[in-house]
Amino acid sequence: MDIKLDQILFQIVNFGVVFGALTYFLYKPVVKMLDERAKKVVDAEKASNEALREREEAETLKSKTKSQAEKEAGKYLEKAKEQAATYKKELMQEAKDEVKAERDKAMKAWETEKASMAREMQKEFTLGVYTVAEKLLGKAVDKKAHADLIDKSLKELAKAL
Amino acid sequence: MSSLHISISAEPVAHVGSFVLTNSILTSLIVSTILIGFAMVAKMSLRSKGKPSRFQAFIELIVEGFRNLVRGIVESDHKVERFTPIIMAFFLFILVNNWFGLLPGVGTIGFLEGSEPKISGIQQVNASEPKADQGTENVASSENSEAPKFVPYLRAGTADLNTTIALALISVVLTQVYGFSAQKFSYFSKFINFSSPMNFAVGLLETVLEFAKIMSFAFRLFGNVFAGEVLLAVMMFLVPVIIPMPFYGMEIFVGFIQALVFSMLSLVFFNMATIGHHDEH
Repeated sequence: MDIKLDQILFQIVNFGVVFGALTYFLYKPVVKMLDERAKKVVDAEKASNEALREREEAETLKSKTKSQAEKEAGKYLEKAKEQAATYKKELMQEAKDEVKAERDKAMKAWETEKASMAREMQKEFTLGVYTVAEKLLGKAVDKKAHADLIDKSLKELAKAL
Repeated sequence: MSSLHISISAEPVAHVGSFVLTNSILTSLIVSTILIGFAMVAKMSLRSKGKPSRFQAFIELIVEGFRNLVRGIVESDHKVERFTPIIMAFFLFILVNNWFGLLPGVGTIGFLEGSEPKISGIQQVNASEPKADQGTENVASSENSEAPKFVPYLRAGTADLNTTIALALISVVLTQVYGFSAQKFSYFSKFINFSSPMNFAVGLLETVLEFAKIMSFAFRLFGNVFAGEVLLAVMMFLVPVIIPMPFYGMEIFVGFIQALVFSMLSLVFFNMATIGHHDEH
């Protein structure tokens, strides 16, 4: 076994060069890259958590706004229903009034017509009576004669009584 | 070649000035080149945007795996960032060196050093008589003393005691550096403590322990890897087919475990050095 100082020194230098090269070319760049990647992962995780938090906030806000909107919509709906009911009532009343007015008008027209017809009938009847009376009396009966006839009949009726 | 070649120390394959380039150093250089190349390719292939490639996923798996492993022991982010690169470097360097020694051709392709070869197989296993020039013990011997010696071009880097001592020295020195930087001068009270005779004795033991760590680290790694190489060489020599395969599997596992043991022990020592006596309680 030869132990030679120059060979030991040579191997120390040789190993030193290898150590330096491995550190400079392999270890440091890889560690730097791994650290950067780890940092990126941490940053991405942070960003992801932030986005998740923002999303949750947005969801909360959305549900809050939705419930508020629903509440307001309910209120408006209720109000609209009330208004609609009032309007319906008014319309119904108006319609009823109109119908009543129309009916009254029709009734009035009918009454007028009835009265007119009654007068007409009375006239016709009177005319008939005149005609019958003329036929019975054998002479024309005018208005004055008719009145006299009636007065005469009434007087006879009064005597008889 | 029908001989069994086992050498306890690395053998020279070239000379660069006065520096002897051994086969284990050559392997270590190749391994270092592979690791540096891998690191450079890894850096170039990194993409921070889009879907990462499979290679990038593999790289991230390695680095993140080491970080988590270290974090499980030291529990402090500052220490994790400080210790992980060196622990990763220890592990990868040792692991690739260990496994490189198992590749076909490593330890088997080489050249004959000396005069004409007259090798006739196993004659003796002579580990007690290292050659003065290179400290090698060849199990394969020749019929005459001038027989050429087989020298492989490549040998697992961690199968050389010089490499393991270098790694152990780095680990132990870094332990002191981390301890001093964390505790300043109070760190040395662990070694030099005059508060009581008992503490002084403990301090001496701690000092001895630091040197023992170097020996422990170096010989554990070297012993395991070298023993594995010997085992494989013997098995290959005895039955060249089928039989060595389970041993190869075992050596792959041993190579991984030894790299892990060295790294984890270093990490534990680093961590202990940065924790004061009061913190330990």
